[in-house]
Amino acid sequence: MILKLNEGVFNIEDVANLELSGDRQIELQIGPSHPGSGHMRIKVTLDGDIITRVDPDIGFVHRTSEWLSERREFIKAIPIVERIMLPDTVHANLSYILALEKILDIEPPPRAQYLRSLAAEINRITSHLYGIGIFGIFLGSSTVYMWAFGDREPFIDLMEALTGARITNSYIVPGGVRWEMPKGFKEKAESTLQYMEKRLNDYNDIWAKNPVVEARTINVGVISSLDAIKLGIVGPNLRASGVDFDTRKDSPYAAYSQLDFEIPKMENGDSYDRLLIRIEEIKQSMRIIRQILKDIPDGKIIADGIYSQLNPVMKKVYEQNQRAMFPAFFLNMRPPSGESTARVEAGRGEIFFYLNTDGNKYPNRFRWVTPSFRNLPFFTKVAVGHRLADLPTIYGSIDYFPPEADR
Amino acid sequence: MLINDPDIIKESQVKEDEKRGIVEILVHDVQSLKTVAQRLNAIGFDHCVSVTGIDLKGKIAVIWHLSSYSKNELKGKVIQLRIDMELNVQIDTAMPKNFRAPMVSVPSLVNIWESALFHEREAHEMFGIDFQGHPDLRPILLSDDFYGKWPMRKDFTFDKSDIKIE
Amino acid sequence: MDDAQGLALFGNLEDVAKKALQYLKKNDMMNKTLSWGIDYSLWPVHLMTSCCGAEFAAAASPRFDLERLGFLPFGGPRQTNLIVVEGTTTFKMARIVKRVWEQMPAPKWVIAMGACAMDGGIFFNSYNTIVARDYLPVDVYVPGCPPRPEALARAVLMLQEKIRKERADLIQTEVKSSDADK
Repeated sequence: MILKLNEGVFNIEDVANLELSGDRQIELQIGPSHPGSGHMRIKVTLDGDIITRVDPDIGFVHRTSEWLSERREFIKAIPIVERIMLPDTVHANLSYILALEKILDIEPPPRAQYLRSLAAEINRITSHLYGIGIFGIFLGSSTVYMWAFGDREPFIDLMEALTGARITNSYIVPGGVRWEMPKGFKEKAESTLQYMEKRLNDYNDIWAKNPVVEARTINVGVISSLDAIKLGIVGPNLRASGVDFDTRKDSPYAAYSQLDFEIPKMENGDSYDRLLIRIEEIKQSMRIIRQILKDIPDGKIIADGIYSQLNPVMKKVYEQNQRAMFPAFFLNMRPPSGESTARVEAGRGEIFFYLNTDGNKYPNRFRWVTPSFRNLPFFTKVAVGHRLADLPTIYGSIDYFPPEADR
Repeated sequence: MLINDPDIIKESQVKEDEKRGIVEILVHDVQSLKTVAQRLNAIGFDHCVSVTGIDLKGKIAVIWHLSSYSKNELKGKVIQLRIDMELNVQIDTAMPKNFRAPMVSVPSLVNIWESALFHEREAHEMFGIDFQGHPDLRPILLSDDFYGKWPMRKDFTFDKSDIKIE
Repeated sequence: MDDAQGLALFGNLEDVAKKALQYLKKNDMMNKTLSWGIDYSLWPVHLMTSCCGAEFAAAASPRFDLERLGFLPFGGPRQTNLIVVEGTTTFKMARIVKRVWEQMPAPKWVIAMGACAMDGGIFFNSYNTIVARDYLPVDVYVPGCPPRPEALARAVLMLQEKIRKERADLIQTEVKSSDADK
């Protein structure tokens, strides 16, 4: 097949018609090859310097995860789902396994639930630091980008000590988790958390109390709480507008019902609040990690239903190295026919999973909605009426990640 | 029982499975879809989480998933509003001629839940569902190579063997 | 011996010039200098194609610091000479990458980063993906899913070696042909 190159380009006759009609609006395409646009094209209609209409043209990274997962075995959907949400891999993995476990009727042991929460909270910190870094680049401050990405590395080292991989861990499997906490992990985690607490004071001084940042973000991109509910916004953007909703409290999963933490909430709903709330959430995540490391119960890391299916070689590996290998059951899994839903609070918002099976080796319907896709109304509704220079501010403050919106 | 409103129970069949997180409202008739949706909105389900379809052989099921931000007793629940449509009806819509009919036509619920705007566009381009009354029904994720071919249906085929760009 | 023409501190200027030319031809200094200049100023275009962009961004961060090799992401295609195809390219994005490639001035190179750019990765049988070598002439492949930032630094070093080897005989042949004319 041949792909034509001149596609999706505006027609030169349309421009001529606009000039003849006396309309002073122009259409600007902020395309994919732009430092301030990410992997998407934003078509902006401008009247002078004021934005009158925004049309996000997404789909540049549409890698068809739903279509592929309906043609592969259930266990092979874990890497696909992880690579779509790259800064939040543990949450994507967790949401799929929660939906699958509801159909298979397996309950992981308590120690595995605590380990799942531990990995999820470390991942939330790295995801928020990624968001802060990209927001810095969009506002023009490469200092904050370098700081945020540099401060992400100690937490990625923690994940590497726990699971063996930097980002795409595939740590959570049906029945529990794959690896046990190694020796010396608690001391390493404590020293990382102390380092991050000192650094958060620096972020407050340089970034949050910066007069340039305050001038560019206060009262820019305001969304009221009623509008946020009506448009279906998710994540820290929703809580920055004053709506009290977090999936960890309202429909708890993993070990969150036994942990003690707060949900930060702000009132104004502008970009400055969305910037501050991420720093507050990092503090709450560190509090959760300290509780987990203190209160974690002992026991197995994989459910008895799965442990009994391991063959003797795998059981010996489990005793010696505290590592759960995959039994053959995972590859030949034919779950009973039914449907289930699962929701998980990732760093950017709420992931929703709907799984429909009919007794075969492949799913019948694999549907998931990522938080960035549900934050799209920010472009079409909130950016209208601002100046063009406010568009990167709004884009950076909602922490929109195009590969996860396109799935 | 989560849903015990008599108007809703009259028009549909309600099935609940608490452990798996499924509360399904299966509407019998496409004319009563909007009334059921308005009753659900009045109860407290104020935003739409996802709109999708399922390709059953000969039928396409259109599913809206709904949730609530404002009512405390409904916050943790996700309900699904489902309708099964037959596929062998020719629809005379204003779509270009090279589209692969047949499509399936349901009323759009964007006037009730504005958060369903982008989700309905995605369900339209993936399954060939025509949402009547949607203000802006265009493809959102697919390019012109595959728009009109309804990729998520089970009988979709493609040939990628000798590909080049020019 | 013509002393009136070009008497310099170190003897006859013409002899010295001939000796210098022989030295440059033997050690290939012109090519080496130009290659060294290109190697340590490879600027990639700011075009993030897919999820390997997160590791690309981490490679530019302080811990791995690719900028010490002169690797500075730059905004417009007219002043850059490298494209890093990170991850999967869909049909929509491949048109953009090809158009940006055609806008870059020669000499220019391509690094295909990640398993998806090499051979499809785990999205290989999707209806919307295309491999990098179907529409661009790739120079260096970096395996991994995603590759570690050290692997990307290694790829830049391999590209530098390839540039040195490619340009090693460029000026030699020109000098030889002008010698043959004499």
